[in-house]
Parts: sequence; C-alpha cells; structure tokens
Amino acid sequence: MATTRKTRPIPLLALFIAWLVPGAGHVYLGRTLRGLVIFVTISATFWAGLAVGGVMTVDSQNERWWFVAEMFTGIHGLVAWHQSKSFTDRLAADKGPVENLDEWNALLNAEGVYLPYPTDNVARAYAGVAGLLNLLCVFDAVILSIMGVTGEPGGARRKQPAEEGAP
Amino acid sequence: MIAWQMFLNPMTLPSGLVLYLVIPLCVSVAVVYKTVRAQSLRRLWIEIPFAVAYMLAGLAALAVALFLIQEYCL
Repeated sequence: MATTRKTRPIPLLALFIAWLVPGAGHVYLGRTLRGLVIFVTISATFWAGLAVGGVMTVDSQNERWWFVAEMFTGIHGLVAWHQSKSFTDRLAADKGPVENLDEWNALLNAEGVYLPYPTDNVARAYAGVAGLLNLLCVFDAVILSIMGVTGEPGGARRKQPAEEGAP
Repeated sequence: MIAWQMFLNPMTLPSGLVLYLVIPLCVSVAVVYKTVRAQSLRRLWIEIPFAVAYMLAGLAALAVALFLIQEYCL
C-alpha cells in the first residue's frame, strides 16, 4: 500500500483527466492498477473498432450520435476525429463540392474507405461502446473525488487530512 | 488496386462472423464494469467470466424472446 494523499482530490481535475486519458482518473485517485486495466481495455476496444471500420468509423457529419459516444474516449477519439477530418477535408479539396449523401458515399467508395453493412455496425459499436465505458469511468472518478475517497477500498489510504486532524 | 491499410480501409466481414464479435465486446464491458465496481482486485478475474456469462445469457434470452414474439405474435 502506498502513502496517504496530502491533498483532497479535485473533482474537476479528475473529470478532465479521466475523460482525456481513459483510466487516468483512477490513477489520480491512487487506484493505479484499476486505471491501467481501464486504459488497456478501453483503448483496445476503441482501436479494434477503428481497425475494423477504418478512417470513416468516426464520422462527425453523418453519424452524430455515434460520434458523441466516440468522443467520450478522450485522446483516442480526438486522434481518430483528426484522422477522419483530415482525410475528408483532403478528399473534398481534391474532388470539389458534392451535392448529396449518395454522391459523397460514391466518392468514399471510390477511395476504398466507404463503410458497408455490417462492418459499419461492428466498427461503430466497438468505438462507441469504448466511449460509453469511459463515461462510466469518468463518473466513477468524479464521484470518488467528490467523496474524497482515494486508494483501494479497505486500504489505509481512505483517510483524509481533515479526518486526521479531527479529535 | 490500392493496398489495404489498417485504420484507413474497412475490413470485409463475413455476415456469419458479426454475431460472434459481440463476445469480445461483452468481455470488454465486463472488464471495465468489474474494474470499477469490484471491492477487491484479486476477485476481478473470477467476477469477469461470470459477468460475461450473464451478459451473453441475457442477450441470448432476449434474442429468443424477440424471435418468439416476431414468429407468433406479429
């Protein structure tokens, strides 16, 4: 077991780092092993989705609800969004404006990146579920930091400085 | 033909395989959920298979129920 934390965890900081890097919120709260397990699992799930679906898995224009879920993965979602946006911007610049969704899909198909059924369902389910799992971890990290709980349950690290000074 | 690149081009999945891809997803959900909820990390690796089994059994039961509704009630 590690030592007692000197300061009380800051919920907003826990929220931000737990969102940005999956599992980092738990590491911040002294639950390092849990944080590592969360990081590996969520990262593997998200990138497995992207490996299956390719660059158009994260599609901010046509799959907005999936996109919202994917953005909960923090840095992973941001990197994938950047890849997707760079690709579509370059494609739009090369080929000119498109009239409708069918024309856009035909363009993606010609580039070999169009997501057909059922690959789209699998890819977006993996990436989206990874985001929703990270949302669960963010909630957990924030609630624990609001409660002032750090370290593993039952360990010696739950006592806060305020409690230590109490008579 | 352009060479296939991971993270750029989508994979071609056979329709029959799609159903089985729910298993790794269930494992992933179980690992994260149990990591967050488990009181002791030592029990984590015991609780995860049970959680996966519960999820798969629940999904199978749901599939059977929906099949029966679709077959006999609609």
